[in-house]
Amino acid sequence: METVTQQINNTTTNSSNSGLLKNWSNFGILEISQIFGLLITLLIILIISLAIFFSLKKSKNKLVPTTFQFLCERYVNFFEESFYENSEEKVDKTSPYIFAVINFLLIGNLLSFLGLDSIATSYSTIFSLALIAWIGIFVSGFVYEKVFYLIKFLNPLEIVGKIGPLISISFRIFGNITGGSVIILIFYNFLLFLQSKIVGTNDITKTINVLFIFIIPIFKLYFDLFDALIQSYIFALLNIIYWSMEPSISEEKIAKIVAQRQKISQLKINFLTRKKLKM
Amino acid sequence: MEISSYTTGYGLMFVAAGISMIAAAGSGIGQGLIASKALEAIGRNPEEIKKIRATMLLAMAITESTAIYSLIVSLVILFVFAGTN
Repeated sequence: METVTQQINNTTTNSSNSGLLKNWSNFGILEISQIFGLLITLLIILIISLAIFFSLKKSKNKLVPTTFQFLCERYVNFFEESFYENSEEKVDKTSPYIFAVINFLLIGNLLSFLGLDSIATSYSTIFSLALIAWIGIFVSGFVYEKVFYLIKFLNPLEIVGKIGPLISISFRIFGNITGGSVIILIFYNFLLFLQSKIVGTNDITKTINVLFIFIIPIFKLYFDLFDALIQSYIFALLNIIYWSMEPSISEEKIAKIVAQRQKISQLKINFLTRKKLKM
Repeated sequence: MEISSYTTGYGLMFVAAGISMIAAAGSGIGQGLIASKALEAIGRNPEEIKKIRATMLLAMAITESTAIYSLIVSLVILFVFAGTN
């Protein structure tokens, strides 16, 4: 939103549309304000995770959970439910990464409430996350099907179709957040124009706009809050679905692998408990 | 700048941006269909409303992406091609 105020100042001083367009001509490239936004995102995540860690450590031995602990458990449970429903037990090990991505995008996109650019307005940030998801598709294919995975690519249509996910997953969140902020920017300018027609322009009306207070919050609620929540959830969900849909193996084989994994984890637990008993 | 200093090609860029947004109509139809089917499902078994609502929102957000692509095309035309001239 910082850039928005800059653009409004430009449009009021130049009183032409070219100023508004010029500032957006390099969108997609990381600007200083966006790098600052990334740093702030990391700082907020660090503070929140440390707070959760220390407060949960304190209330570990209590029988009745505190409200804070209850909320944390609800959040993690919600994530785990939607993760295991969609992953079909194929990509279980990647759940920490997906959890990190969903939190990063959520807090980064809610930054616009602090007056900073949300991180999804820079295409570089989103593209790097999408690239990880896209490469992960082939990794999960190779892990489950080994060399036989390459047989699929004898069909040239398959190669062309594989580029689709990279474009669709990255443009979906980038376009949604950027489009929302552009619509708010256009509305800002319209309200500024409306006010200048009603009360005229002087030093006070350039800085304070009464119409903003009543109309903009409703737009921000939808374009910033709702979009940020839904789109970060969808990004993570599609990430899981792409990874788990790629290897085409039969259900019996999956059941075999799952049983094997459970056996190993059971052995590990037995080993650990024995160690404890000996001690 | 005066209006006469703009070329016809510059003006046609804005027309192109407008035309590219026609794709949003398709996504609107799709979202309407999703909402109508979700309402039918809620009418048939109202106790499943929570699950249906979550699935509906998800499907709507994915359907919306068609409109988002056209929005990006028009934004690029407006701010990258028309903005630099």
